[in-house]
Amino acid sequence: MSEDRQKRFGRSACVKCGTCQTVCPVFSVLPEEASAARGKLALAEAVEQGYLDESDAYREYLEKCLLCGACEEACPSEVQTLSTMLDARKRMAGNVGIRPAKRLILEQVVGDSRLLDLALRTGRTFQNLLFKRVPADSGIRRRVPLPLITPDRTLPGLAKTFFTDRFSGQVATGKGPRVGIFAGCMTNYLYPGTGEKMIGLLTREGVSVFVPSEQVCCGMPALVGGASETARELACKNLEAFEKYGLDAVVTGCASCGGNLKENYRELLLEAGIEEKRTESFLSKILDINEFLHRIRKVDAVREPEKREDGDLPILTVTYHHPCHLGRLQGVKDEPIALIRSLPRVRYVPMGDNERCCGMGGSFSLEHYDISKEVNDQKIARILESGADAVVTSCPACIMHIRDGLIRNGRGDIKVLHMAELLERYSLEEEGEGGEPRYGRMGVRG
Amino acid sequence: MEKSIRQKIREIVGREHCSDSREDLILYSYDAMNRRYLPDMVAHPQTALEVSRLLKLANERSFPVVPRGAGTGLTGGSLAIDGGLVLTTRRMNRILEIDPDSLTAWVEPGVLNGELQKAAAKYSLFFPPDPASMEFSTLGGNAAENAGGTRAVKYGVTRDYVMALEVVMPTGEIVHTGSASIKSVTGYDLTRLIVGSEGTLGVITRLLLKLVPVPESVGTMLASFSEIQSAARAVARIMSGRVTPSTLEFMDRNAVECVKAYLEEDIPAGAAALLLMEVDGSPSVVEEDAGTIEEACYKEGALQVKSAREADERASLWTARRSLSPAIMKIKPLKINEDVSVPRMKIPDLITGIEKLATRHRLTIVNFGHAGDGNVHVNLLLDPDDKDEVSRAQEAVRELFELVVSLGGSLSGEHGIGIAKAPYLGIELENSAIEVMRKIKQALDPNNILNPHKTFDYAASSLERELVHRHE
Repeated sequence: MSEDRQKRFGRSACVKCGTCQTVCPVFSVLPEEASAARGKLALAEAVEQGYLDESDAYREYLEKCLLCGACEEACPSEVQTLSTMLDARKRMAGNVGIRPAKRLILEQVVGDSRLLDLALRTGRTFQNLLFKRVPADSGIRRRVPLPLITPDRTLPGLAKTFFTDRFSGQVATGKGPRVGIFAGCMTNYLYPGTGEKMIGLLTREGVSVFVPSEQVCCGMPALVGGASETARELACKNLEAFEKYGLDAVVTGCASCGGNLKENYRELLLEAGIEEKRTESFLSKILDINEFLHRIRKVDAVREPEKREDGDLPILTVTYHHPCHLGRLQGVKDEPIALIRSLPRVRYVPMGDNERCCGMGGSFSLEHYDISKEVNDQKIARILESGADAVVTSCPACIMHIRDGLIRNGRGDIKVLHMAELLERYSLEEEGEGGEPRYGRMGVRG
Repeated sequence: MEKSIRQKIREIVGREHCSDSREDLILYSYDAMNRRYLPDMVAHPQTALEVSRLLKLANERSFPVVPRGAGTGLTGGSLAIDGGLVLTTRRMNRILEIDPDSLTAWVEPGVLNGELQKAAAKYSLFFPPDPASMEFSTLGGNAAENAGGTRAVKYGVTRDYVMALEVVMPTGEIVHTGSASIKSVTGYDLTRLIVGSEGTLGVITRLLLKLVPVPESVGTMLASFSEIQSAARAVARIMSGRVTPSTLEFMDRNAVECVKAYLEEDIPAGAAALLLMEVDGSPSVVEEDAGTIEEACYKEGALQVKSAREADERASLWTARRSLSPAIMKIKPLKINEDVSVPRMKIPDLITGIEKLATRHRLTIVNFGHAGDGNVHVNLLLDPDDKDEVSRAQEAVRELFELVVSLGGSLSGEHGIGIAKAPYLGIELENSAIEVMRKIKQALDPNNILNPHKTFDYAASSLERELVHRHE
């Protein structure tokens, strides 16, 4: 029996030590071998070496992953789990295809910006038929049975006016650098207020602000879903949309878009035949809003100001959640906290496990809401322990999921804010003439 | 495996708690030894009774059963080398009771070591065995492998903390061993027979473990030496000087070279050996013991001794040790880690011998480990594609074991024998001792169904085959 049993699936950098299980959020709620990176890598290796077909069970195991990257950070052998998983999904899409409905959405709708726009405009018209508003304007819940959306889930409604409908082209003129805003789909269609706050913040920093109207989805859903051709097309459109404005920086308030632009665009653009110089020039300009403000305000040089109450603005106690795609993927961890600490009427309190995924994972939360919800409950518990009045983060997807979780746990009173919202509201200083902000003491321009 | 057997297994554990899909078989085909053997089926029983029924079935129908905790062992103890049924303890994962008065805990085998630590911490207690895998390995696995860790020098190893067990014997009987009382000499010590038997003599389904009060304070010291011999003399001086450190780790010249990049600040130029030490107890004892250790190190020519009491400073002194494993991985693609053990005063002889081995076989060997208990992790670094280097390494491993035994040492301090070291058992154990073990196995498992060929029957496999399997 033993000789022919010795099927060997070959070598990979993963030595199967199991360390990934200690940090994997999915493993924490579903502690089985397939949940953490070690199991997924073993399956992907087996497929690569021809010992396993790309079956439905394989696909299901592989897709039960938030792509949060915690395993990669913890791995003693430095296995590149994220790229291995993306490659495996790409290979699966190429060999056995993407599920037809998903393919239709990824390639035809997400891939065609006009169609995506049209679909969402139509959706906005009908959303009141399918969804009901929940109290306090905190979001919407489904009215009728819908696929992938459970009745207990609170989602933000589609915005009355999309961000790029309200703003396009040059929206502010200043003496400072020329800055383009990459909105991203969630900001554009669900949270245009975040984009508006970004414009406000950037305008006050004295920069010229542009919102290129030809910008499209960053392509992350397509890439993760294995539709790499669509991802390449979207990458090219975005490059062209921003290039024509002669910008010094391209700033985004979406951790996932930013992560995708910084981490995946090089390969996508080069594959699409864009020359290296052009690609590098575009990539060198991409900054998260936190990075940009941290640089321009020179926050490190500022001692944390003494916290003072103001009649209209009492001291707000906030904690910060690191989005996986900003903290781990882009390494932007210190900047948002330094920015928060620099605010005179905001008190920062730390949160336990503040780098742990909120459980959203993009379309993961649609396909595996049960797991997603349990991971999110862990996050909500940490937020409540922190004692903060508001949780601040820098990713619209995290905001959506954390807000849903707080409402589900009966704590809708705790605010969930994007950094841009917090900074816009709390950067004001009481000495500012006529309510105008003065950033001189924060050392803005220079 | 016949269809009717599979059907029976499904009836015993429930259809949803077992699988024979190819995906699931692959997922339970490996452990941290990183070799792959496909089982025929995987089952996740929840009770001793289910385990018992599975083992009775295995005896009736003659198929191998391989117990598995988290699959984090380094010597292949949970690999289904003959196929059959992999039996996991995943669903037996409850902490049944922590008794802060008697300082004990009843647990099921699938509880993670780290989970027990967290639960015990609420009562200011801890479970001393701390294998490197403690956050992700199970207590059942720790007991089956008799796991060690960094605290062994003061606190001992897993066997010293298991008071009683519920075990399903290979033939299916459910047996209770040991006692909740500290003193108990009634009959043979079956608890100690099962602990460390690598899942060959029974499946542990419940454990009564000893806990220890968390010490009031801890002091950490990092001492640098210009040569391993003076570090070794410092260890001797410390151990004979009424102080028992709770941790006494060392790193040799190559290990120091590996981690230098991570921590220039803490290591003076010319350092060729490091000792990382901890003492615990009341604050005054910690101060006194730390002082004694510092003095001992300087008397033996330490270049520098850094000392810390606060958690974050202590963590920074641990950086060297913690960054070592990843740093080693960067030198060569493959690391063979042999956790040999010698009487602690023989460590300098062992290191000198290994240095000669490395020169003779033109190999890079990095040594570090638990100086306090003589357990040295000997890391042979190689490129698996370099066939000549691989064969030189094979030769060096055999010579290493011979050297270790000649110094009165042991093939494995804490990783176990499994299949990785089974071919070398005869280097350390005399035939008569192996024969006694064989008789015990035959008496308890007459049909040889429970984790067959682990520990002593894997001699047919040469090291060459093992390397090929591991890396092709």
